Amino acid sequence: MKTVTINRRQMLRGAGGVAVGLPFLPSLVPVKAYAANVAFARVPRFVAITTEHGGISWPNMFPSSAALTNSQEILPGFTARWGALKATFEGNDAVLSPVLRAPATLLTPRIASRMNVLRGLDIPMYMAHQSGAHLGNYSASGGESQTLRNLPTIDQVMAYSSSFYPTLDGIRERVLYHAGKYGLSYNFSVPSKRTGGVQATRPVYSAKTLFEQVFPPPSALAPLGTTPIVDRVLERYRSLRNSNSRLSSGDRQRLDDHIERLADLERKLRARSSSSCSVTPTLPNDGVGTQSTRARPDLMVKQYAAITEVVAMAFACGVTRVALIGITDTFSEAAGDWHQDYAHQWHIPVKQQALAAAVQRVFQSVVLELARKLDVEEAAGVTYLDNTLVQWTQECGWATHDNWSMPVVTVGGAAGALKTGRFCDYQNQNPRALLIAGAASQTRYGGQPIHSGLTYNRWLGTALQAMGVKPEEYAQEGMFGYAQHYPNAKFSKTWVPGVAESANAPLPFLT
Amino acid sequence: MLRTVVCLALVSGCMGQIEGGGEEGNVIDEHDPLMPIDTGMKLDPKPVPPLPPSPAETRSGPTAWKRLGRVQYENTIKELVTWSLQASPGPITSAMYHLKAPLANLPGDLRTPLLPEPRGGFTRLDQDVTQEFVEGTYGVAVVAAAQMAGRMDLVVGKCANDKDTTNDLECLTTFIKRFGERALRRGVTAEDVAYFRGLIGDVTAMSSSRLATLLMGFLTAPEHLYQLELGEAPIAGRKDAFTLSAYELASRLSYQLWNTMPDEALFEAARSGAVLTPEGYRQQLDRLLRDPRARIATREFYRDWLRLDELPDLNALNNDGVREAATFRAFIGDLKMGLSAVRGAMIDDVLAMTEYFSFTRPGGLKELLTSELSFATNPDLAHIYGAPVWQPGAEPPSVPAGTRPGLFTRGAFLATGSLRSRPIMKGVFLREAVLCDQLPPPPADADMDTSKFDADKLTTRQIVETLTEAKGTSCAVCHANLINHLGFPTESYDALGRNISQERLFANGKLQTSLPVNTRAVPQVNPGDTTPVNNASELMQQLLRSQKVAACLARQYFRYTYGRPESSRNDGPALDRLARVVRDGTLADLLRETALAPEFRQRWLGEQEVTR
Repeated sequence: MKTVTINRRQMLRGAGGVAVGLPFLPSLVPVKAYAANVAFARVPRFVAITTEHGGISWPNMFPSSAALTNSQEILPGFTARWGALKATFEGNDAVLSPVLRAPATLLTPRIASRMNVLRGLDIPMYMAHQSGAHLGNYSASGGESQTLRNLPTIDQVMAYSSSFYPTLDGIRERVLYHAGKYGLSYNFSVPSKRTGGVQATRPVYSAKTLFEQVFPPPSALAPLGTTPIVDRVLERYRSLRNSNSRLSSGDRQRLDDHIERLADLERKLRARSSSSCSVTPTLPNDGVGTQSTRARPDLMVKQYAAITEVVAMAFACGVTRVALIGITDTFSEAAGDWHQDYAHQWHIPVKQQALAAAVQRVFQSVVLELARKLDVEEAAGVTYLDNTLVQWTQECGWATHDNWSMPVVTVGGAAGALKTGRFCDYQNQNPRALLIAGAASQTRYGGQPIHSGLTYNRWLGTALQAMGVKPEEYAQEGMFGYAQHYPNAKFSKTWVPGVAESANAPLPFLT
Repeated sequence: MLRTVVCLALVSGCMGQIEGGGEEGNVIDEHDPLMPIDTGMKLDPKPVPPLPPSPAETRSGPTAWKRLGRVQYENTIKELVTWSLQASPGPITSAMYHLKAPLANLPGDLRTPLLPEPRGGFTRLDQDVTQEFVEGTYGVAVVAAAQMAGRMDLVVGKCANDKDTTNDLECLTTFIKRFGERALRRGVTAEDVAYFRGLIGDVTAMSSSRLATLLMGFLTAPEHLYQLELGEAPIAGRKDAFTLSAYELASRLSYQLWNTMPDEALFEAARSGAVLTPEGYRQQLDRLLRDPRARIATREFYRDWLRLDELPDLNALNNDGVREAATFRAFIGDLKMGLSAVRGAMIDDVLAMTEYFSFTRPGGLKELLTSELSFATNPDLAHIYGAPVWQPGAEPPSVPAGTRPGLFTRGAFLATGSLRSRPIMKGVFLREAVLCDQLPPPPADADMDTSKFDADKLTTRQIVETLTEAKGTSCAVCHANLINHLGFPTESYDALGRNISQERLFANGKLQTSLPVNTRAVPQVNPGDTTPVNNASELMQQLLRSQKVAACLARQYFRYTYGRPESSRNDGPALDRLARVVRDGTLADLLRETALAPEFRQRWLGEQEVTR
């Protein structure tokens, strides 16, 4: 069993520092903090950050296409492009695009070099609004996708992968999940056996609860330690499950579900005794208290600073390796109906500006803030960020309800699995792949022709493989990449042969 | 400021109903993947190995024991602790204090839709066994067990800690039988006694920690956390259904009507078998219905069915940092207590009305859809209704005659939290939740361009018509026929539910203009019926005449009761019977007749399930 020791200085800089309002400053980190612990040189971790709506125009979302200086035929008849991510500077800000901008002290050349910005990743069906698609359950969406099958999401695939979690020693939560509402993460009701129905896993709604999941207060643990009867209870459930009583298959499934959860509870109760932090981390103070955050982006920033703080501490203490942050807050001063009055009016310039400004705040105060907190040395010359893949996705593409060219922004080196510092455009430049042009493009997209690209499934498969999850651990679902493969005719007719089949391989330009 | 609306029309559900629905209104060319897919959508020809079932499939199939819902579990544990502490105030207060935190950690149940009504559903349908549920109930059990074990004298009796060890075995056995009946909600067998005795080892050395372990065994048992039913006797001629045992029936009745475990009288009826006799069962049913707990529990049904939690925050725009909050305040006028309180009062108003017609003065759909009684306990809401404030317990006052007929003219169904009403959402709600019709999802290009006309000079209805009813568009098919016209008759109420004849349009902090509202509509309660209505009252009459509301309410209560979608093969007669009850009887009859129905007293294993 590995043990991570957080020294006093780190705690002051990290958990303890937050308690007194100090920021998590990488510069205070001992340079060789974990240099002697070679076991930590490669511990991949995954964070998914999601924002609702989308509807961010390409000129606002992406760097200039002029940055796409390299093109390559990645399949016969399929040419894609990529270029280096290079920030320009406006005043105190570093700028990759209107959304991807932040103070240069935050969006540093070092961080930019660990980012990727991906365009041209399509969910090739009409989905409209979605929540589960971010991580691969296309069924948890609207439109055509409602006919699809429920699938576990990739965070849960990682959570129950023996490649990703070769040991659960010290792991309090397989996935740390904070969201404003459920619907981001799904798994079987008996995950370890991949049986039962696929159901939504439940998020927590506050930084405090999130913190207590991975750092439970001693007062909460003490009584559990005095009643070690989980094994006996488990036996009773198993006995009932296997009895000759008059059980329906639904009853048996119910007992299986409960047995699985009890077994995980038993594991956690044991895990607490092998806590991998020698110092008890401190609950971050978000400074929000009971105030309403509605129309208060300043408070939202504080709230999410606490959440990213918990994630950074949890990674540092080795109590989880996956985190989901589902953002339902608008990060805007608008208090009304964001969905109807902004997201569905994405095409009105003033609303587009508001949408972009809100999403830029998410980039700066959640994505980059987390990156900053993770950019702390974990092993010699390797930071937690280097070992982490932070994925930031949005609900829709350029227009609300668009499910193609889903913007994907990543930070972190995924434990060396991915090349970074790139802006990749996976749209096929071949005229055959033209999806929208002419008057339609003029009306909705400022004349920008839009081509079909590679599938978003392929990105999800890339993320899984980058985290060390072997394709055979999920490929039995009968999909290309990850997530159900279900292109509609209007998409597939723009494809060259191989677009679907190649999705099992990692995305070009990243490996 | 205009609220852009989401066009809810699409494809298969509505497209086929219009002729000549061309591409005129489309903004994108033939390459466009946005447009709804007609017959071209096909699976990729590559073979696709089996996948987990779709949501529709996971919701059907075999029935399963119900997991106690969040409210049911909390009620149960509190009652069990209270009973075991023999109603001693001090220990109970202490126990409840200590239980507060672990109970707060329990996950809430999600209002879970069934596919025919994707935006509806009931919290009782949330039957997921989550890690949070198992850990949460385990955490509660730890604390509850510790609290009870700390008062061994009350919980077990003096025999547990007197100096005579010769009576310990009998003392413990008696306790296991007595407590076990309550915790497991069934008779305790010799096998049970042996198992639970085995949890604590040496029975002659009783201690509070050993008792806590024993109690933990009970509080984490499957019989405690689930409504565990095995059935008793097979139903003649069927291999998939059984009569419930006395204890099972007592529990089913109690959780259905009270959302908690049986009380002593019901346990006694189970113990004696009286609950299995027609007379004994009716006695218990009537007793439970008279109990205040039935009123509280039944609110859950109406709260979920009527989607009351979806009522928006009415005060949101007061904090708006982008738009002019002053404009919103000008629209609100001079409410005394604030909109946050009004929101809660609007929900209570609806629940109080359903409770009144279910329990206080039983009434039927006619009363529900036409009543002019006001249940507004909040001065601002009473002011909106033009009625005196209602004092709960007293007879409710009436709103001015002809101003507000029936349930669906109450604030909870009209208020939007903005400056404009939402006829589309009113229509969608009535179509789906009240008529049980299915609507297709919105099309891809649902974002509507409001910049092509001056929305600030149009009524909400005019805007909606312009955006969604343009001839030949995919939107028009559903909106013009199935959605909008169910919402238009209540356009005589503004976004706060106030009666209006002129829609007042505000901007820049003040009233700009007023435009007459138009409530005439062709609601097509039965699709294809072109009978018009002139106002909300006539809409309510048309809803009442259609009998669809009765059938829908019966269907909704069936889903709530059994926690599953109806089976067309198995449940048809039961649904027909319940629909007749709603049509000809009262809301009280619906509760009573559901519990009296033969299927309520049976265990059905589900389709294609037979005993092994």
